[in-house]
Amino acid sequence: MKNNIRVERAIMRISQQELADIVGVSRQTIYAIENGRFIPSTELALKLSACFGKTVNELFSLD
Amino acid sequence: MKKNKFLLPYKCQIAGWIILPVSLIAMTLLLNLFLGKISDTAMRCCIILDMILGGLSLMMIAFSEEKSEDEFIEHLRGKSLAIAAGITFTIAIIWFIFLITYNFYGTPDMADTGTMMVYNALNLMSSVFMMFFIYIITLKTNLAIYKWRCNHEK
Repeated sequence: MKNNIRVERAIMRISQQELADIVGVSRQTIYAIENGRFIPSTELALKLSACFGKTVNELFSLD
Repeated sequence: MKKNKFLLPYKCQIAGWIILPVSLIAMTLLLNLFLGKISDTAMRCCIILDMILGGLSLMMIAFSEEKSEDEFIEHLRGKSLAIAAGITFTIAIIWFIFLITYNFYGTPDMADTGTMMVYNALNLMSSVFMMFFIYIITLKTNLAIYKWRCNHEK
């Protein structure tokens, strides 16, 4: 599973910690998702997509 | 986000980290200073109480929330528990095979059923403690690694 959270985060100019605070998780979780070490739940994926104003499909895609 | 309802609050983890060294120090003192000086029954009672205290502190550490509990930490918990169970189960089987083999080919006194029962009980008890230890070590190491990686991310 690929994702472009890092890119979207760079566009919005927010840090991992800021994103973590917005969606209500720890910074480690954002790091693990960005690096493909952890696949988030549907709830968290929806929160992330809402935060970036994108759809889940635009944020996450299959390899 | 839904949280694990079976986990104890974070404060219990702090209490566990305080009680664990206390129980370890108490055990060391009991075995080094009081062995032979107090009656066997009192000694046995003290050791059992100390072991219960140690086990309780391990449980408090293992089953308490982290400061910021979320689904990734839940995922790490599951992974650590699986690793701990796997290692403990493997060691328990090796220990069991060793006991059976020793019972067949070892000294005659080991063939005694009572001794075997004591060794099996010891095996079972140490397995539980070991599982807690391995689980806590794996989880804390994983958390520390991710924290370190996060801090070193550009």
